[in-house]
Amino acid sequence: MHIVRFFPIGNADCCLIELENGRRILFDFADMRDPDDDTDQRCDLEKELRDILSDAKEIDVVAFTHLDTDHCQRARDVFELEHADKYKGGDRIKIKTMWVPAAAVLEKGIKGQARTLRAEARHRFINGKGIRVFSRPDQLDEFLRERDIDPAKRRNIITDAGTFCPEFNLAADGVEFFVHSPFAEHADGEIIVRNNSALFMQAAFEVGGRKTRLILSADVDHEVIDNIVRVTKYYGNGERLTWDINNVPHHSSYRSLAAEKGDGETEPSKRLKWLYEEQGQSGGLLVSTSDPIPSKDTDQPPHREAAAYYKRIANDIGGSYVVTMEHPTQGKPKPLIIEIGGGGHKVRKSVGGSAAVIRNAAPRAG
Amino acid sequence: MSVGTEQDAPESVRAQELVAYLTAAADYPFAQLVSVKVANARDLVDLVVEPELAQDRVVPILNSEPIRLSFHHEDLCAPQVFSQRNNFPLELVHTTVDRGEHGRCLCIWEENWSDLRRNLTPQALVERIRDWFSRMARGALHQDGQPLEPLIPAASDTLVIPAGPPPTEWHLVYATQHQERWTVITEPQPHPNTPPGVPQFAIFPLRLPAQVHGALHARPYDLEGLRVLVDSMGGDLVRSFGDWFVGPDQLRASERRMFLLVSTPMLKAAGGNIEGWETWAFMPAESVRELGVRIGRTLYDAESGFLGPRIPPGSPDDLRGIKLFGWRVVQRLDRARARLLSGNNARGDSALVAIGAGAVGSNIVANTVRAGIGTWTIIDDDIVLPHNTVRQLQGNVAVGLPKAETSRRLVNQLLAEGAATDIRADVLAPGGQAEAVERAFAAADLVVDFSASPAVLGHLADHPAVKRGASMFFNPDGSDLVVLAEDGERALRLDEAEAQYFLAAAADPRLTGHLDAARLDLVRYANACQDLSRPLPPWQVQTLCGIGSGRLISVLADSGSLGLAWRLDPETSAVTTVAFELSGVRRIVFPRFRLTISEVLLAKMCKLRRGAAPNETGGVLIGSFDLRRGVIHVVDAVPAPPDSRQSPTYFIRGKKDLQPLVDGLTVRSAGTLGYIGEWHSHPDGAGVAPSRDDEGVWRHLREHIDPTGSPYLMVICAASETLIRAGWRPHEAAEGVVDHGRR
Repeated sequence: MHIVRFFPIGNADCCLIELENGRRILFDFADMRDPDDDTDQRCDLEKELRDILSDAKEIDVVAFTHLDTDHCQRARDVFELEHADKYKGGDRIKIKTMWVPAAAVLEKGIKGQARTLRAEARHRFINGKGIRVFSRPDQLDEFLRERDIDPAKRRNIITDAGTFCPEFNLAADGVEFFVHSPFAEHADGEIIVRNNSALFMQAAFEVGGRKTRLILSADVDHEVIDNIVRVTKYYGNGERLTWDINNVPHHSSYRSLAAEKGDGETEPSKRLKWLYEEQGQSGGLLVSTSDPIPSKDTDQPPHREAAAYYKRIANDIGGSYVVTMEHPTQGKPKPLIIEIGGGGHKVRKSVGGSAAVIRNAAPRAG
Repeated sequence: MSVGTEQDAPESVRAQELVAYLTAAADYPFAQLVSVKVANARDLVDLVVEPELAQDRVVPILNSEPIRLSFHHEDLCAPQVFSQRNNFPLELVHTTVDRGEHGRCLCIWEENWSDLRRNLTPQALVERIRDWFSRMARGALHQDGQPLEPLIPAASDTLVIPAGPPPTEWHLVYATQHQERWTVITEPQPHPNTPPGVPQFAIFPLRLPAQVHGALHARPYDLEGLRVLVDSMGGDLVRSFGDWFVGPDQLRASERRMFLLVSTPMLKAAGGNIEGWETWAFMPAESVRELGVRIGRTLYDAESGFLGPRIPPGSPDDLRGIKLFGWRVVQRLDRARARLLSGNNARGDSALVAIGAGAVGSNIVANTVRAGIGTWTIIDDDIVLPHNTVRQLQGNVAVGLPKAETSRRLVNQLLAEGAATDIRADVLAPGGQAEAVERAFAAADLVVDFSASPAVLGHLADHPAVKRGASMFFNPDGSDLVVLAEDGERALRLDEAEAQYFLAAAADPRLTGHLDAARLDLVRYANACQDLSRPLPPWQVQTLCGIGSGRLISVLADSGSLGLAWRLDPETSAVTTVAFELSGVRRIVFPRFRLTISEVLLAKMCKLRRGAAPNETGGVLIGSFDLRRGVIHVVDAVPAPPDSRQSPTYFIRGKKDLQPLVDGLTVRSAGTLGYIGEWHSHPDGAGVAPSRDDEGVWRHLREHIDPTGSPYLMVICAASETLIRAGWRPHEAAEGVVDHGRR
């Protein structure tokens, strides 16, 4: 059994995959909770992660789908970064291999968390180890040549769209990761649009001969997805877009479905309809890593019109649409824990009581 | 809370507690209250449950299933569960075919209500229903190999003489001849079913004065030899024998052969009690008529056929000429003789009650009756079903008849002396048999629970009329037999022993796998529509019951408490004995519930406390509880997890490795034991009074556990005493102090 976890961190992303063989992959880490705000219902992500890791001090792969704050908040405080001593030592969690889109190496004029992670990505890329970069725009070769590095010497740590990540395979790990995006063109323009140059992958798990497919789509917009569908179908890789679990993009933003919100329900393009309505497997689970779905129209995601579409799809395939800040209840959200087994996925629904008391430390006694 | 339009106040405590749980649980219970209605002495609680479901489902169960629970106001039966979904899948096992007024009834409960309600907290109730849907969805509800259930639910020549003193009348009831050897059976009463054509023999009984057992006499081979022997023992053979020949029966049926039966009571020493009877049987070669004439007491006219008294009597022939053939005499067994022959050293009968005449009860009762254990009152309200005959005393002829009665009948056929009576009753709800059950309990030296029902065990533990209780049961796969026995003073009651047994099952490596076949949500065996009675080889049953029978006799001879398991390896047939220590307990009686804590646990906390000094230490408590009886048993204290923080002024219990440890105990104890609270120590001089921090711990426990309906404890171990504070809704929290040095 493999375990996939999503965390209630508001409109932000973090997905931890624990494989049956003990290896772990973390997609994004955005610790958004305000520790000074008692009413903040977002979880203490660092604590949750450390609790899960227990004595482990390293994660096999940490992927930053892109460098927006809602995908990497406090990452530099929690993980050991090799490029600077101040990010080393203590109880920092080591990253064995970092996965980033090429844009995370190439972006310019950035600050804060993003700049620190770019520095780490560049450091690892220049040293040629502990990193995998997705897509190979010309600018990436240029970046290497400027540093007197032969681009051919880094080819082994670059993975193009339409291929598998070599860190994992079905035989050894029970999972394979197929990369759909970014394409090289996403990072070759003058201006890099982070959301659209983000990682978009399908993780295909296999347990007892049963494949369970998880799509991780970060914050890409509908045009990128449309293009992914077009290219994937063109190459006859339609199976790589089937899904049992779909981490719907951009916190249920309508812009990841269509240019227009729609009236009551967003209507996606033909290709996106194919992705959601035909590639979703029976009992499929749609996960919105977002705030609760508002009852009124809003500018920021999640958008109720997009949520209405996803809910309808979930209903049509006998599945469910789960919002991380509403699971299991809006008042008391908890991490969404999904078991991947021989019967597909299963959302863990553990009740509280004494089990909850044991799961945590007791208050101070005196 | 999602509340519908109809919202009555439920009348049953169970429904009230369910509503409280659904509305106040600290963590989401994956069930939402919809409405509460009161109708026809029932509380109808509608809710939507959210089972844990895999994506692939054998049965199309939904992520949200609407159900209705129907609670009896007096809690007399298990809550009924109905699906409120119109399109709930049909033709499923464990559902009713017809959709009734409340929906399609779901067969959730497998145990009888008395067992089930012991631990059916509101949380457990909801969890059982959620689990039912989960298992239904994955097609795991009816297990492979599980037996199908009935559609309608459901009990040289040998003379055999009676046991004990010679009867006043002798009746020959049966005689057979095989290879020219006779076997003749006698009884004190005529037998109604004596077959026609059985050869008839006249019987002359002679009772001698009591004899002290001593040297063996030579066997007489003629009447004179017998006369001399009888004379030497103070009897008069010739006179009484002669008078017998002129009796009407002998004159009427004079062609018969006859037996001379000489019986004498046996003493170990002069003036002592009668220890037994010895009977000799002889048969002369002549008929009654011929013998009467030869000893001069009758006259016979062959021509007319007349036979009558000779007056005055004539002189007998030489008695040496009347040859006697000796017969082997076998006396049927009474209990005293059965004890003697079975090596049972008990000096007399014990009075016993058997609750349950199933696989364990019927066999052990029969085995011990053979050993002359005493008298049994067999109590059972069930009937014999065909599958019972594989493992029980009863056979095919008993199918459909009451288990108690058929056991009694079979058991009473084992010895010449009846050893059993029966009461057809459920001891937990005896109805019209209540008085009979009470009388049997009060009269018994030992009441043995063979029912495999924790509720019955608890009932015995609480029963004031019981002088001493014991319980014997198989583990779920029938490879192990367990015996628990109270001591003669009842210082340790059965339920307290049982709680410690579960700890042994969970923690003693010698009992590894003992309860592995148990399902966590069931209590031992169940007998309803999802009966999990497993295939159980009769040889296995007999082997273990045989051993258990022997131990039961030992239990009567020894007044100590006892905890034992015999583990049979079906592969090698080897049996291993595992004796587990039973600790004394301290009992605290609160106004609405009570609690026991084992001495071993108290000593363990004290030792951990001393070891951690000057720091405080602590951990979690392991125990069990019985909701219906309001009893908590605390059996173990888990030491501080390694990530705990300890100082002379505070203790923060960590969590590292704690959950798997507690889960392991729960799994290995078949779901019986679990987390029951927190303990921590106070340093010397601090006493047991809870600090402000301790009150914070208490609030934490109350917040998380109180709504679930489970009890929870905060225990503070100081130098000389331990404070126990317990919460258990809907009761008021209570606390008590245990002095370490004084019971």
